Amino acid sequence: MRHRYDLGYPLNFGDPHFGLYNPVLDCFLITVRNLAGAREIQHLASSRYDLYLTDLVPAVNYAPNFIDNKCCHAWSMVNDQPLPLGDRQKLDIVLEVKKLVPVHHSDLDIEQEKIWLQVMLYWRSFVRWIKTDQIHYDRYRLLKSFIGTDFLQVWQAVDEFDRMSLERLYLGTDTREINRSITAIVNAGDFLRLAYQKWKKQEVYCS
Amino acid sequence: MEKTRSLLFLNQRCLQNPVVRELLPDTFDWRLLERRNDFDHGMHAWVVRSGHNFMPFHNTIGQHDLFRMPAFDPRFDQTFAQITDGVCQELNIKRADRPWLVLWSGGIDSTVIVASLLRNLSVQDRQNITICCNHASILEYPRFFVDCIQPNFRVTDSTWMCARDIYSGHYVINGEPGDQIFSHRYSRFLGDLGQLHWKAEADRLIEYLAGFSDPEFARWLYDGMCANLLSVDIPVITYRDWFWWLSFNNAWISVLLRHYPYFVTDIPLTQWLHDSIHWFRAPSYQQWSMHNNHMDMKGGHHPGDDKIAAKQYINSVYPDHYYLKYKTKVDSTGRLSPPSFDQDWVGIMDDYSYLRIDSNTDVDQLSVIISEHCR
Repeated sequence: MRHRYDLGYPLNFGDPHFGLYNPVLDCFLITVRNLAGAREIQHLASSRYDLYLTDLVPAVNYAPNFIDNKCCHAWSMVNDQPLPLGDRQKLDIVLEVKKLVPVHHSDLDIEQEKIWLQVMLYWRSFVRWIKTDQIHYDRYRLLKSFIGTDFLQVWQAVDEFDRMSLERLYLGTDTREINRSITAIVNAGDFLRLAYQKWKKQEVYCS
Repeated sequence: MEKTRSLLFLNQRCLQNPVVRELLPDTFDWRLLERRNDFDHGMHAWVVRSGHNFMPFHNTIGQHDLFRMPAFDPRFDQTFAQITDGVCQELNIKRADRPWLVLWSGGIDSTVIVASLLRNLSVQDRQNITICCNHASILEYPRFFVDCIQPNFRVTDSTWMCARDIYSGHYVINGEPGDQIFSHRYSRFLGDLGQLHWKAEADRLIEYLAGFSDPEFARWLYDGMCANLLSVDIPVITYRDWFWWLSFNNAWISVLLRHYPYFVTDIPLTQWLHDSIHWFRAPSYQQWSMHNNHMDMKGGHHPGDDKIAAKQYINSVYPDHYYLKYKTKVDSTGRLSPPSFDQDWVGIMDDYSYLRIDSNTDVDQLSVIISEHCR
């Protein structure tokens, strides 16, 4: 199955652009177009490492096509203050990048980690699409707490898929196995399978 | 309160209390202590355990068995793994009379404890062990929780527990003072400066300290530490070593005592001291700590090098490439919910009674006690 690789740069001038920075590798591992998506990636990636959420746009040498997910690992950053290493509460803050600086790596792990984060972005954007694009989901959420679920099984399947895919993304270590198992869940039910096919046909980006 | 009683340990945060401030001798520079609190986030009251005492308080508590620093043994050669195994095995023999409650914050230090239990104890031995943690602990190391803790231990949620629940009939094991064995919070920002000689490059070190405080305080701290280091035989050479010594020598006692005020309304201090097992307090860990500066066992330039010896030990039990490479030292938030922090806690008396300010306090006697504790 061919997966869409999201380059992550803004589609329009002036749009937001966030980078997730790994302090151990000293580089960005992924860039994302929206804050909610970036936060979700940050939270999910925490099972492996801490990623610092940064706003790339304020950097003095920033341009929308300057840094994307093909080359983000070749960039680090300079800030006014040292990175707040060790302070878990500071992980929630969006750090403004003062300047992007090039870095050179020979770390073989980087490519694997970038792929894993792309897989995460891909599947989480599918879940987000189901829940926002399909208007009935909002009504389901409203009603499920007090209405019998016989008529709401389709949306239960969405919740269940959300839960199961999250678990695999969060706790899994083998990217291929993660992909394989999530795809199997999708293909196991008619609704999810059809929704997935519809989503893939759309010309939209994951973030 | 008898007049012959003396103060063993002063909670330096209480100096922010205007009532206490009024009781200080006129010659006492409390502003210095305020800046010290700002420098070291106020949780640690510095008490010099070994060497020249440059703090403005008498050091009486540092000689008690519970807090004394062992004499540096140049022949000591145990590894971190050997020590950790030994501590666990010894506890299994000497503290087998009660169940254990292990406070797992999700951080590196408490994860070492759980790894050691898995490595050294049989399934039968572990039946009397409960892991106490909350959601923040799990978030810090979820795979370890799922793969190692849940299948092997009873687990209890610490979120709403109070001290009486926790200390009731258990030995309570925690990961203190793990940070003091390894380093100081400001050494993680040192980078290449960490390898400079603290004495030969004094000006840069003072400048670095001033970045976290002010020039006057930085000078005072440097001069005091210099006098202290020249009076001991511990090998302290680089900036990184210097910061380690600041934490290991000066913050140690306060760290061992710091959680007690959270539970002050629940249990007596003497019971708490008896029932609390501070895992890294063992003399063997302290010897290891004194021997392993500039050997890359504690940390290096890289944030991923933090507590590398501890991470390697955990990895021996639960191989996890990501943890070994990427896990950094983070102030764990998986702590017990304190009912309240006693702002009126003054300190600990020489009979281990708890001294605080309340409506029954004899202010005149308190003034004498505090004055006699100050230098």
